[in-house]
Amino acid sequence: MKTQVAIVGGGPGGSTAAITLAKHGISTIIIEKEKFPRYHIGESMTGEAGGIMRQLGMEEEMLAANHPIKHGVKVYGTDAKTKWFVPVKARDERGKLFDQTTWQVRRSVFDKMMLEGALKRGATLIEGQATRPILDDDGGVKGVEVNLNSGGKLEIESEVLLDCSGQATFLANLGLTGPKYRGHYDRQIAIFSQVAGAVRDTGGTRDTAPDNTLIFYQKKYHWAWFIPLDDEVVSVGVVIPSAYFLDKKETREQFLRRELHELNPELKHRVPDTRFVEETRSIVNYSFQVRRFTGRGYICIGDAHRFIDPIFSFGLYATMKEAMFAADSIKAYLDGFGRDLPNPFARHQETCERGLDVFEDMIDTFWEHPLAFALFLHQRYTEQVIDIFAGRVFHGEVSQALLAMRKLLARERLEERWDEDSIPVGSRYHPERASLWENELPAGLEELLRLN
Amino acid sequence: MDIIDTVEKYIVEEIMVGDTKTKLDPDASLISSGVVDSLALLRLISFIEEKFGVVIEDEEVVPDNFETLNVIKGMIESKL
Repeated sequence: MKTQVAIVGGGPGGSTAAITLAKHGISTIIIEKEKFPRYHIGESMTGEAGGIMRQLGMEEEMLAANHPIKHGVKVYGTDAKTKWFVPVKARDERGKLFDQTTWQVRRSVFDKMMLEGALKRGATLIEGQATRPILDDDGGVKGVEVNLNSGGKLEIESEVLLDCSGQATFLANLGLTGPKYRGHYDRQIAIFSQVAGAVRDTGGTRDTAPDNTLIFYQKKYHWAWFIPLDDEVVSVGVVIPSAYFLDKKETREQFLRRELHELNPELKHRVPDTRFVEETRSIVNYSFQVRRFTGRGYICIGDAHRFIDPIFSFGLYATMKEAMFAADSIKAYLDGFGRDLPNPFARHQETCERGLDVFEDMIDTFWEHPLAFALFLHQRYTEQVIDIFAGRVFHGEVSQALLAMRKLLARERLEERWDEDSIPVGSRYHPERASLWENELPAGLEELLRLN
Repeated sequence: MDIIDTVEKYIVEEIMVGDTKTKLDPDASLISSGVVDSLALLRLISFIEEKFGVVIEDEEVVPDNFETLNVIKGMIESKL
């Protein structure tokens, strides 16, 4: 089987890429192993996501699905002694900020809508699991082998392979990319489920809208999220150091139910009933960075090469934005651009890394310098911080806010190098601090997760 | 202008919203005790900058630098 672009993974990255490629008249095959709808985490969009849905021509479907409206993020500090709100805002043609909204999405519904949108626009779906890329004599990628769900193997020839396999990091695991560094600050685990009967805000102002994201901070690297998925159900999750979870010797469910009532008094008030209406799941060691994630014949998208931290809900947006950029880069490539370059997608890689670096630097400022972060947000650089929250980070410009954050972090971002040597010292992924990602979990954790 | 008196007055009147006659021990904890929470601290920083005409650098925006009236006084004096 032959196609112009083979896409591993039918999640938002893969379908966004397919929809954008279809607009360019480029044929795609999406390889997806799971039957949709299926559960997935990563439920909050940033402000710029609305723009993405419009650009994809999916706005009507989006509105018809009635996803909860997010006006912003409200953060409750330790013991709920303080709270602050970050509104979602967009910029108009003159660059002025105005109030904008975005969505919270139940991913089973959203991902199915997106995949169907891609198929409707001409993408082909292969139900199976990618096993290995097919390489040409120069080591470039020219296709992918698939184990079909119905049995048997299929070889798909492609001009470009998009790895949209998410946390499974398909190509990185097989050594095609540069090294995958684990985010080494505090090995964390996220444990999450869904509840009914949660207490939402009911006010008429943006910060008291019922479906905003709520974040509850207990202490550094120990926090919880509250994300409404519809009128009844709220997604809740707790993120903590793995060692803390291991120490409690509880099942995931027991742990989550207790934390929902102990982590922050405001969270306890909001989740009076901790009976879960969904399975309790966990993800461990989800923070990593793969350097050099593009090359001849392939591009990795979203989580397949980098995931930083769920704290500000950048992941879903970043994936979709990268997918759109990749589709445009592929169009240029298929039109003849960069054919003889050692890596035709180097420019694309740079654009993605620059933007994600901004997310990373803001996230690290929040963790390492919380008071200064609050000052930047509330007083010194309010508009620029709101821009980053919204996702306006891929334009390549360095704002005053970003400069101030990097100065605080004593972090230099080299402009011209994108290999593993250019990770700044002090970054959680720097080889001195980060370990190479292993498939093994710390002793005890694997067993505990397996049993519970 | 007495630095301690000025800052104390702001904290008592604007943050604690208390009786103007309240006196604060210049070595008593303001931050770790919770008397001044993080958002109130941001307001205090603005007040200090405006009132004393000093600049508090981003790196100086840490709770330790505002822990007591005496610590605050020391920081302001070093900038005057």
